[in-house]
Amino acid sequence: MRLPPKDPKERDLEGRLPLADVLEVMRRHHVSVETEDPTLDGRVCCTLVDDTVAEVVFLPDPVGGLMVSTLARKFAIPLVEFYYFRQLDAEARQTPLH
Amino acid sequence: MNAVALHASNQDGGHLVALGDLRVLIFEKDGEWLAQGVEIDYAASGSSLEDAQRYFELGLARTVHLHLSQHATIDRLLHFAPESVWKPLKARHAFNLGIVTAHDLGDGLDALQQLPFERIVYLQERHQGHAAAA
Repeated sequence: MRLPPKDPKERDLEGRLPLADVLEVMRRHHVSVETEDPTLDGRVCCTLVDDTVAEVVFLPDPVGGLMVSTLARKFAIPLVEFYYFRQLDAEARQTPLH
Repeated sequence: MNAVALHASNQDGGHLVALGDLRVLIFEKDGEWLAQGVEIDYAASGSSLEDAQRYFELGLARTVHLHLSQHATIDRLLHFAPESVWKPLKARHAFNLGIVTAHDLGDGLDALQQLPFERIVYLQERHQGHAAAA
């Protein structure tokens, strides 16, 4: 099996995630998410609010790893959930073995 | 250098917010640029240095507007970034110091029209092969 080609070095955004996934995880952690139409360069203005944090950020799609880490820190969401929430969901759905 | 935050309002719902001597750190990793405030824990990313700066300014202005709309104050916005973020500043040789942001914001106005901040200077982590931003 041939692995997909890596991005060019100058555009290798380590840890990037689809914007929809990032926002999905935030919603799961009780963050209110409101989005506006994308800007001309494709960024989405996102209003993110929870009990302690309220901010507006312009997020690209995909979201880079630095920004994912920053959002995780600010909203106190385990970083692993951003990257593995689908796997965690699948594991939770599996019937336990007895 | 001390950061300054000023918030004034009138009975008509008009607000004036000025943020001065705000330090902003710039990080770059794998083609992603991150602008991280020190005295205000706000961050924005971009695909270039200028991109990160632009969205830091736009996003912070919108965030100020959000706080004024929700709380009629910016008190909850005035939190330092964690030490792990700004601690590298102690190594003064590693960063250029820079500063300052000021803007007006009024109820019923589009916050984006109140921009740009006029005096932001960004601090870029000094790597070999990277020029300092000013």
